[in-house]
Parts: sequence; C-alpha cells; structure tokens
Amino acid sequence: MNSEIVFSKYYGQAGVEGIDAYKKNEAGYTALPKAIEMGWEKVLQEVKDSGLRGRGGAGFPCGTKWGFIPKNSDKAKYLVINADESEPGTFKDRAIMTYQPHLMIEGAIIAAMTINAHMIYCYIRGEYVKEAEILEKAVAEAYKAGYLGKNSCGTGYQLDFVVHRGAGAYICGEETALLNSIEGKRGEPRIKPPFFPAAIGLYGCPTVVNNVETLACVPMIVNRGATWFKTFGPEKNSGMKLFCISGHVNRPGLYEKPMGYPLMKLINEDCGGIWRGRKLKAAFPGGSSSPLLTAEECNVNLDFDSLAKAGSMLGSAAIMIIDDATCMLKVAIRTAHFYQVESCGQCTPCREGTMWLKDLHHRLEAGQGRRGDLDLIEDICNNMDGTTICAFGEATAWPLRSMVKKFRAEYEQHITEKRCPFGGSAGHAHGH
Amino acid sequence: MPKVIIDGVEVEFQAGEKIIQATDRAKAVHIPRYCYHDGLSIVAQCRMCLVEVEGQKKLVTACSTPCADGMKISTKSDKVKKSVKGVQEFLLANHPLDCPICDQAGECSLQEYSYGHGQEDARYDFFRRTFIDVDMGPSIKKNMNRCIHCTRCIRYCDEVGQIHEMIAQNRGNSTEIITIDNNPLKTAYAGGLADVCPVGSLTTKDFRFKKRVWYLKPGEGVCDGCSQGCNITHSQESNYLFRLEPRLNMEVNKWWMCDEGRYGFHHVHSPSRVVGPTDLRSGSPKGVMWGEAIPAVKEMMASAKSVAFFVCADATQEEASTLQKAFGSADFFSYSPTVAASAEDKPLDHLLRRKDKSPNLKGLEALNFKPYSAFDPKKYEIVFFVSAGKVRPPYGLAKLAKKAVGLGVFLKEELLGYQFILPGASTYEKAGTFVNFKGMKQSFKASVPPVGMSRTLESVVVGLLEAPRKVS
Repeated sequence: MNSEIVFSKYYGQAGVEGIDAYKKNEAGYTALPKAIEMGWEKVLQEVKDSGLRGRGGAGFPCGTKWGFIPKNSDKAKYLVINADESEPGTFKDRAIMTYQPHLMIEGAIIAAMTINAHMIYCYIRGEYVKEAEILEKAVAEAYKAGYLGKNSCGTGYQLDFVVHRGAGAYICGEETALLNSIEGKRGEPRIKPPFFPAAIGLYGCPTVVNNVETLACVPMIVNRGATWFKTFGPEKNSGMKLFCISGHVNRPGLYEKPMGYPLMKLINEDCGGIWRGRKLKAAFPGGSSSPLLTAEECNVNLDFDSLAKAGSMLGSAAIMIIDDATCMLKVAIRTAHFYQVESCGQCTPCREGTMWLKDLHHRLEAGQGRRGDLDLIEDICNNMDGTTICAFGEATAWPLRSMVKKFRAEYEQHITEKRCPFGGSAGHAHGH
Repeated sequence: MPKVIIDGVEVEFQAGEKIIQATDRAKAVHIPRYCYHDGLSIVAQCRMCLVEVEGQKKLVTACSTPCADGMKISTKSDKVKKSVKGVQEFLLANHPLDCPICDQAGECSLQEYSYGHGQEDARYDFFRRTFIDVDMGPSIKKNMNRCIHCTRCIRYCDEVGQIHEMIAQNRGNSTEIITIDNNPLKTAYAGGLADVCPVGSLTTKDFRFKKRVWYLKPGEGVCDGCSQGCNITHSQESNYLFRLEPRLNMEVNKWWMCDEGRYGFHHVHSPSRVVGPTDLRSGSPKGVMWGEAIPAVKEMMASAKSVAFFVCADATQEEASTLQKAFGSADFFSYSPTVAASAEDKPLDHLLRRKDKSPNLKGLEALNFKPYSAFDPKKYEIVFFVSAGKVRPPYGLAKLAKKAVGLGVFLKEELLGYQFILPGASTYEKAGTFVNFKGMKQSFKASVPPVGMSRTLESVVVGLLEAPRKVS
C-alpha cells in the first residue's frame, strides 16, 4: 500500500501558505493548465475513476456528485466549499487552509470549471478567524496571478471566489443549512427530497457542495492520475486521509495515512499509545456523531466501509480516544450538551430530544438516576433516529445510544451507588 | 387517474399532490399534522405526519412527499405509530398542560392528537421552559409556553399578510417565535394567527377568556364588512355572539378574513343599541310598545305626499325587494360610506379588503336603487333610514329631512333628527342574500334572534301595511 506523504509534508512550517511557496514546494498550479488541456469531460472521468469519496463525513463519491449537475440547464451553477468544520474533534480542514490554501483553491477552480460554475463560495467556520484571513490573502494572490477573475487562466472563463464566514453554528455544516446561511436565511436544513443540491441548491440553482479536503485531493488526481490515487487504501476507499487524533494518547495530532489504516496501529505506533500507561476504553472513530467503539471493537481499519461494517462511521475522521480512567457518562454529557446547544430547533424530535437527553445524563452523573432512565435514554434515541429533517437527530441518537448499550453496567453503577464511581460530578442534575 | 394505496385503500391523486393532500381530499384517513396548512407553504418540521412508504427505509413526511402511482403507504404500521407517539411526547415535554385555563382547549390539535396518538403518562420530569406572555399589538396575545414551534404563524405573516414581521429567534430548545424586535403586528390580518395556530399560543384578545369553546354553537354567515363578502362562521352561545372566524370558500376568501371583519360584530350586543321602538317626537327619546309605534308611523305616512327610503347597503336583497314591493311609489336610495357607486370599488390590499365598506351595494344597484348622490332629504316629507348597524347613515342627515324614521339597528348616540326608531335586525339576526363585488350571490342564515324587542324588517313592513284593527 502506498504510504507517501502528500498533504502534510510542510505542516507546521512558517511561510508555506503563499502562492510562491506552493508553486515551489508542491508543483502548485500545474494541475490547472493540465486539466484545461485535458478537457472537462476527461477531468470528470478521472475523478470518477479515482474513486475519491467526500471527506466531509458521508463519503459520497465525488465524481458522481459532480456528474449530477445538469448539463443543459441555463441556470447559473455554483460550487460551494464546505469549510464549516465544526464536528467536535475535527481539525483537518483547518490545517489545509492554514498551510495549503492554494491546494484547495486550485482544486476548487478545477471543480468549478468541470461543473461549469462561475462562482465559488467558501463557507468558512466563524471561529476560524486566522484561517479566514489566510484564505482571503490566498484568494487575492490567486486573483492577482490570474487564476481567478474575469479571464481565469487565460481561457476567457470568468470565475469568482467569495469567502463567506459563518457565525458559529454547527448545523451550518449541514449542506442545505449552509446554503440557507449563504442566502442570508436562518441556518436550518432544507427538507428532502431533493436529496442533492445538484438540482435545487444555492439560490435555487444547481450546486455542488464539497469538503475542503475533497477538493484538495483533486489537483493531485489530475496531476498524477486516478491509478496513482488508487494505490492508497483499499478498493472503493481510495486515497490518503488526514486523521485527527485527540484525547488520551501520548501524541495527539493530525496524521496523514492511507485509507484503511488500522486504528490500533495508529494509536499504539504513531500516537505512542494511551497516555499515563492506562488502557484504551473506547474511541469515537469519526467525530462525536459516530457511534462509539469499545476497546475490543477498535481492531478495525479506518475506511468508510470497514467502519460501517463495525457499526460506526468514518465521518470526518476525527478520532477521539478515551482511556479507562474516564467516566463514560461524562463523555455522554459532553456529547449530549454539545448537541443540545447546537440543535437548530426546526423539527420536534431534535429540539425537544436533545434537551431531554442532556438533562437525563446530568441526573445520572449526579447520582440521582432512576431505574428506568437507561431504557428511557434508549427510547428517546430511538424516537429521534430517522424522524428528523437532517442527520443531526441521528448524530445525537447514535453515539448516546451506543454508549448506553455498550457501557450499561457503568451507567447502572451510577444508579445503584447513587454517585459517580469515578468520583466525578457534572454539577447539579438540572444544569444547563 | 393514478392511484396510491393508503392502508389498503386506493386513493386517486392529481399530479404533484402530496400524500396528505390526497388523503384529505379523498377523506380517506386523517393524518395528524401541526405545521402543515392547506393555505401555507410546506416546511415538514413538526414531524407528526410521518408515514411508511413501502420500499423506503426511513419514514417520510406525508405533507412533503409527492404521491407516485402505485405507492403503498401505511399510516398505521407499528413503526409509524411509535414515531407519532414519540413526536407527540416530545411536543408535550415542554408544554405547560394548562388546558383548564387555555382558550384553545376544545379545539386544540395538541389535545386531539394526544387522545388519538399520545400516551397517557408523562415521562418528562425536568423543568419546562418558560416565557412571559407577550402583547403582539391590538389583536393578538402570545403565550410562548404553549408554542410547539410549527412556524405556521411565521409563514402566515410572510405569505398571507405579506409582511415579514414574525421570526424564530434563538436556536434549538430556546427558540422563541416572536415579532421582529417585539414590535406590534402591522398586518391587517393579525386575527388569522389565532386561526392558524394549532395550539393556544396565539389567541385573539377579543375572544380571550370569554367562553369555553365547547359551549359555542357555530353558524354559517357572510361578513358584512365590505364588498368582498368573506364566508364566515359565527359562534354564539345563549343568543350571544362571541366570535367570527373565516369559513373556507376557495372562490372568495379561501381560509382568511381581515381583522376589520373579524371584530366588526360588536354593535350587535352594544349597550348603546336601541332595542325597543322609540318615540323621539317630543325631542327626548321615549320607549313605546310596537302597538303604539306602528300606528303612529302609519299616520305619519298617510299624510305624507312623498316618501323616500335611504337604504344603507348592508340590507339584504330580500329586504330591499320587500320594501320595493310594499312601497312601490317611494324613491329608493342605496348608501355606502366609502364609495358613491360600486364602479368606484377597488381592492385595498393584495388579499381581501375592499374600498366599498358595504356588503350589498352591487345587489341594491341591481334592484335599481338610486345612488346616494341623487338623494336630497329636503325633497321628501318623510324619509325612512334603513340600516343593519354595520353601515350607518351619516350622522345628522336625518335632521335635514322633514320627518325621519329609523328602521333597523341604531345606536343611542346617533338619534339626531329622527322622529321614530323601529329597531331591526343586524346581519347576524336575519337570513338573507348579499351580492358581492364580483356579482356572486351568497345566502346566509340567522345565527341569533333579534336582540330585545327588535324585529326583522319584513315583520315591520307587514305591520305598516296592515289595515288598522278595529275593536269590535
């Protein structure tokens, strides 16, 4: 398996984000003329052949998504970059935007030209102030160098790039909520169908929404070919991937590995094992929305299909490691609290369920739990699962339900002992 | 026609129709809903109408899913029942359950679906979110605690009132439905918010705390506020009118009515309404019996050479033709307070309100009533002013006539110049027909009997024509 480092070679170094450094270090803006020469049908085919799957969470094949854009439509078409990276534990897009903004911009230009869009919106997370500044600067450089603007790359093709800063809502990472937010509306997900914004997207026009990392893969695919891209990772899960490791390991951080890299190898070899000589208790393999894996279940490869088989998901590849001195209920409270605060409040199960779950977990942690509370948590999660407009309901229900199921004994201990066995306290039961 | 199969029953649908619209039209099965309203856009956010479609993994919302030929839909499967029960429980989690003091109780969707789909016990035992009641202008009072966030009101203001003035503020569990900057509502259709609100969150100040709705007896009527002729439901209890609501008529008012019409019935039970025959010949009002009033008016008429009827255009077609038949030799004039003739009538806004503030001007014109501009009170020895209380003759006009008699609904402070008042019926106290600006004839029935000693115009006319009774 190819384990070449392509993304993170220059991470952590100063002065690599400029256009000159990008051109010198990473053969920057060579893919763009090559793509123009290839023709856009061929580029689309190359991306399809590479098997590149969306890096934002759902893992939808990128080429297929581009292919959904109707060719005969006389409406304007848009490319929207989802840089609203707010999933707890995720910091991969931030690295790309900090150290390789031009890689993303080049990928975005290729994508926009492929789908015949003349406008690129980059919706960047509100808290990413520094990153937005770097990106703005990079966009200005790209305009100056003639890659963006009225005559993009000398082809006479007009292409504009707008950096749109969010206002700090997790839900605006959901692609339809993101589109609403750009349009100036409340950041609430739209009803499905249509399942893809390819038909009705931004301002009612055909739109492709891509993650930062997905677009950053595109110049490499164009430059080095689909076959090269496929040398990373297993079948149908090709490519290299940035993994964000946080939690109780000795060396947390951003690791670039090919898809399908074993999780235990990543923890024990790359991250130097669990900190303070403790044991692994559990891990979120794909951000706080993914169902939790117990220590035994962690013998899994990190790719979309393997994790789906293990009953979880790769999501945004935000791996959060939990050691055996941690109270699982505290982890659950942290998760429940996050989702309670971030629910948009549009549909009933999510608006009411998230608050209820948070209150129940607080009560349990404070040692005031009741016998039926665990079943109640599961039932609330079941009632939220699959009944909401967007995946937020599931993102809340899945991890919380998996925690009750997999660590039921520990939860029950809180009830029978009327206290937290780990000695913790999460404040009073009704804490907000 | 293509068909869908709902719970084993075939239901035909038109192209583009959603599942809930097909079932509603066929009256096949009632799918519970909160956010869906026939007259508003679809948002599918209450999640109450989830149904199971064969071949689809997830439940779908009946309000937003279009029908497809041969689609097999279940509204009663275990999965659907569980989800509906779950949504109902979520909605009640933060609901104050203050039905005993809530005006909506009895016609509340939350109550209805609780009985039909909910569970008997509450599992939620944490603090419920609380807000203080907010005044939303002259029409509406808001109780946010009862709100279920269906956003019908927000869409109503945007789409029906066409003023963007209600919004959802904050996020998630603390979402508050509110007017922008807490401003009073500007729309002339604010009362409709209480109609579209499926719970007791938005109530009209006019009806608030007046009556438990299960005592009310509804009747079908036509609004007499303007030439639009909106179809209404008027609710009464013990012969007392409590409220007017719009009644669905797709050709006239659809689901809506304006505030002016909605609250424009208070003259019926006004304490200053003249409810008995009144003799004003001495200069001060004196209550008399019908047996004295009718012969006295007859005597006045017998000596009069010229008679005119000044008919306010809230008279029904039946009343107008009765007068014409009975007093054919007299002159008849129609009167609307805002227009000289129905040709001047025009819409006042995008929706319903019209310039002509009388309900039947078009009808009276069809009966060849002369316009108000041709009326000279001094020309006649006796002028009858006919009004149903909604359109009232200009104050002081009666004084210009040699002799004036009021027939109908008059207020005590407007009696200047009259010799006699023969109290009559308001629009809600009589049956009849109005002709609206489009020329549509719309009939209605009486809701309450005339107040006090008031009589319908027909019975007064019969009395005036009757030969004097001789004592044998």
